[in-house]
Amino acid sequence: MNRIMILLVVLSLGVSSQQITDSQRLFTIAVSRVQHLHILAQRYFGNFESSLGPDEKRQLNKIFLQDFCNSDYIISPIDKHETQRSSVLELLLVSYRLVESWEVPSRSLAALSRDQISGKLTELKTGLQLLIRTNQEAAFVEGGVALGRFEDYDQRPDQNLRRNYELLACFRKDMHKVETYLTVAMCRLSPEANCTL
Amino acid sequence: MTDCTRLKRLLGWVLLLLISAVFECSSNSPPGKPVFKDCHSPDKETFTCWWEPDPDDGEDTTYRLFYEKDQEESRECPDYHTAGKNSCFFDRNHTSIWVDYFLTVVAFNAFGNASSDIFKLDVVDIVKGNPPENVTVRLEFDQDSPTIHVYWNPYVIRSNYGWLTTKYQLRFKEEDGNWTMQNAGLLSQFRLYNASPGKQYTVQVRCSIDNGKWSEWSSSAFIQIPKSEPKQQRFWIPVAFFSAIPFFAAVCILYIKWKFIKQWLLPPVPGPKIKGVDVHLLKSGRSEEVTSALLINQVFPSVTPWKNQVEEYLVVRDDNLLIFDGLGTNGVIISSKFHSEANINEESNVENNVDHKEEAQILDYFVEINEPGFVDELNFVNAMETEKVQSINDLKVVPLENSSYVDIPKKDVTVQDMRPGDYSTVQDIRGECIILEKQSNTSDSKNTDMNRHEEERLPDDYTKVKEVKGDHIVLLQDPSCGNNGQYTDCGNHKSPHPMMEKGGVYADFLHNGYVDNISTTPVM
Repeated sequence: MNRIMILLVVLSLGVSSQQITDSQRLFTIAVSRVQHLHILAQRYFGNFESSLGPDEKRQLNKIFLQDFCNSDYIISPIDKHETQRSSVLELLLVSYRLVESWEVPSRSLAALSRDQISGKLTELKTGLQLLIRTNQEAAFVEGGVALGRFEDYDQRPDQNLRRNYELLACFRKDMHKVETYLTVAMCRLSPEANCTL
Repeated sequence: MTDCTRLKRLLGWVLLLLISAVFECSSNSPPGKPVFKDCHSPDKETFTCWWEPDPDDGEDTTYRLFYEKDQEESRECPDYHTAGKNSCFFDRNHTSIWVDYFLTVVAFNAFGNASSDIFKLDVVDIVKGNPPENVTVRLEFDQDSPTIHVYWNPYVIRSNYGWLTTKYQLRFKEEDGNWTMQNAGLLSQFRLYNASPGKQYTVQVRCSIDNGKWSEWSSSAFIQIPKSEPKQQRFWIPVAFFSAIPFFAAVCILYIKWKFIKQWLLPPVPGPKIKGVDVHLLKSGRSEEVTSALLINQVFPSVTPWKNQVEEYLVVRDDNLLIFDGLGTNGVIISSKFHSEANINEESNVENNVDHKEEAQILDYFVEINEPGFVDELNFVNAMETEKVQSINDLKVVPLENSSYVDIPKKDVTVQDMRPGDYSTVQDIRGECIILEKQSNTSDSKNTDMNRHEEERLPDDYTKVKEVKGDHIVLLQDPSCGNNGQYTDCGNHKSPHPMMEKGGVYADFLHNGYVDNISTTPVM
């Protein structure tokens, strides 16, 4: 009887460690992908900003009072304390929703249609789905994510400029959010005590 | 009196100067516009901003920073002192990330105020680390090659837990050379391999948080690589020298004993030996004795050459028509083993390649004619190379140049082929009769047996020739007819071979007189 118990414990440990290593591997992949997306987002925004004239810059500087990001309706941790307090599953779910909210728009918007951003987002989303499944037993209800108000782009040239600016700024912000959440979640699962990776 | 006046004037000037100095320290006009210098966050939790006041401002000017974020009301800076003069420090409680801040600095004095331009920032975008501390270099030897091991204090913040991702970059240079950049990854150490001996290296490190801005370069670390040890070189020279001696000795021995070694290493291959044949005799040219050993001792029946030499040609006309007119007299050699499809066999010998080409040319020439019967002829031409025609040996189709004949060379009449005992020799053709020779009994017993057997049984494939009629027809005897020494004695009843009726059997009249009735396909 004792032996059976020991065997079961060892087996369950083995299985869970296997799950953990699988999870870590998936996390590593997801984190590297989102880092790449973040770098791309930074590059796009940087290029856009450097192409602006001083007047345009001043004009754009004044945009602040409205929420202009599409993903603002998605409630996400906004500082370190909140982020570290959230569970791994919550972080994964928020990341999933953020990535999904950009999947469709990145296909149709000119500012984001380069470098197969949409494809990369889809891949990342798939990876996150896998991670969510391995990190929970309950069924994950996919879909039903409201895409929010995504206006079509305005034809006025100044609006065009503003819209592009907003889009690129929001995209960069959201990618950074996902990167942060996933990095914290990955660290939580790793055996090191104070992971600085 | 003049001294007093001078003194008073001097005092007056001094007072004036003092007063004016006093007046300069305090402003007499509104302050100038301050300008934001820089803001950065070292840990994505707090941040600091610095501004530059207008240089003309008096010392009594005060500066106040106001900020707005997230549609909230304007607030004032919580901490003006922690980060030094003209700065504002936002602690954890006052910092939100992924939110836009709009900062303004206002300068106040007795005469008015002046606001700076609005400075917009998001904390995550201004993240910039402090330069790495405690950069240390150490010399290591990796398989006798000098390596510089650089390490520094990792950039840690309190309770990080994955909140920050720090990556490092280092740069190094030799004494007075140019800097070489090197990405150092996420770890707080790095190794530089293959450092040049005898040089001094300078190393610096910087870091970047979350792929943000790079920090300043750390303080330099220096290291001197010692010169390479000559002992190592000295070691190899005597080793090389001493190993050369046995090498040369081996070469000498090899040279002296070359023949012996050659004998041992590559023994001569024994040549082929045929019993009874002396190779030297062969070389000297006495062929009869040699060939006598080669030949199986049997007496061959003598052969009378044909009186009428049959010329065996395929007559080919230039106007793309194959005419096999005189085939009756010519006799077409038909193989019993036809290939039904044209098949240039690539397995033939090299020496036949030339013939192949020529054959191919002939075939190409022939192919223009689309008669199925002809294809068989073509196949014959081909089949010559690939299949041994049963009753023909060593025949080669040698196309004559500049002629449309295909010449089938005659065999050497003097060399007799061994024939199985089933064949009979044609002794003579007299008019319409073919006289076949009886087998002689002078041969050894084995042969006589064969002869006897040959008389008694004829294979079913073969039919005796009864009569030759004209140029086109050979009458074959009914197999039911008895065996006689004189074949012509068989009854006069005509029981011609069915094939005959169709216009002639194209029998093969070989120059050595054998008749072989092979299954034929009528060509014409």
